[in-house]
Amino acid sequence: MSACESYLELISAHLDGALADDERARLTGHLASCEACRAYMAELAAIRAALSNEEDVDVPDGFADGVMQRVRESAQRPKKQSALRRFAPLAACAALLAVVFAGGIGFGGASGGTMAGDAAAPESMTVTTADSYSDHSFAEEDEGLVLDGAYADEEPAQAFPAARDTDTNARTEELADMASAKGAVSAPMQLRVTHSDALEAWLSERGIPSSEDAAGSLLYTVDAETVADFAAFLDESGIAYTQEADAENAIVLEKR
Amino acid sequence: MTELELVRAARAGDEGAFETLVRTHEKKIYNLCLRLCGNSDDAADAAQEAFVSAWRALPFFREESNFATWLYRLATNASIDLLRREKRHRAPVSLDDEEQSVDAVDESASPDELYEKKELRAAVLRAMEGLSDEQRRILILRELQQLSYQEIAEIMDMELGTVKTRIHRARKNLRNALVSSGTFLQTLPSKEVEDRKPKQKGDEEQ
Repeated sequence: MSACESYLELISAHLDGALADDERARLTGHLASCEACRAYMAELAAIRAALSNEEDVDVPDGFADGVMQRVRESAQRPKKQSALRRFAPLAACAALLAVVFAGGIGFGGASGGTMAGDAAAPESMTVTTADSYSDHSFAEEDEGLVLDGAYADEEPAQAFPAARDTDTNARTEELADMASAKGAVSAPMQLRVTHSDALEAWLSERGIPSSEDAAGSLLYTVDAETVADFAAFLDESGIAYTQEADAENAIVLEKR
Repeated sequence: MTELELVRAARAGDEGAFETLVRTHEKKIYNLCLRLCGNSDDAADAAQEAFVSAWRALPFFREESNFATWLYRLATNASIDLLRREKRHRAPVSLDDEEQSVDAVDESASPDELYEKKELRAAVLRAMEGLSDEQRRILILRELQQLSYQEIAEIMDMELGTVKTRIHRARKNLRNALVSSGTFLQTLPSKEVEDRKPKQKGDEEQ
């Protein structure tokens, strides 16, 4: 690393107008004597200029109508379904959600809740069907609880017509079957646990085998009964989360 | 109605209010998806998915958040999801889609200048394809969408300081790629700004 290295981030931030006065003064002083850094700044500025001024293109005709059609279709679901039920990808997950939500917050936009247990370890967990594991989050410091799955009562063909392959079809149908079976769900699911000693301990105490994914999260394949037990454990432990909707079919619950 | 009033109405089930929100934000959301997905079909799918997600997720929208930023986040995630499903891990920003607006860059420029700008833009977009997904994404949000650090932090779920550092690294990689491809002339000791260069005398100046 040369002495210039420390200035490169300042140069980048300077182009975004994000420098404090003292930083700007330091950078200006360095630039006065460093031709290489001046050239670097000019190059970054050229990149920025090349990409700026790009005009937005128009939205395809009928775009908003297509969105609203899907919105109306989703509104035709039985009104009895709570927001919770609408979000729950799997019937079995609904139980877990209910418990977690009950410990945290109500619906209607308010969020809050406190973490009662050990606050030290960042923890997150994902529930998916065994064959549909996917990670919606691209944050490195993953701290949250994600319930992930497809909307069983939605017309899947409208979601990603070009994207569907046989696997996706099979998966969607399977989820629909599972959801319609309501309480009688027995298909295995996966829990993904990240950096949570408490959650990992609970699962390993019960002899549930785990495997590690590329990101270092532990994957546990569990049955619905275990999910229910786990939900009860979360409830008893007093762990509360704030909630936030993420991509189309995930809900992130952030630990407070 | 203010945007917050519309959001509240939509949350209570008012489809008309939601439609107003869709029409207000559709262009920005669609264009973000277009840049992330690289083609108009995928972009329309991802943007639609983002809005439908927003409708469903309205109960979770926190009023202290900015609604547009929240939509950006949903749109970014929908685009990433779509690309993953298609198993296209690299999503080139389509040059075809860029061409449409290239003439609008600077109408006062001479034909030569215009040509140069167009060339540089094409080279930059090509070089962006070689970046990691995350680096490409953060540059799209910053350079093409012109979002603030704060907005990017919310969309990408990062600390502000992390955003600053990641943008810096992405730009540096992009710049180095442009040097490698010969687009930027390697002037003078600008080797200095590359990672693995030996220490040079001038470095001790500080």
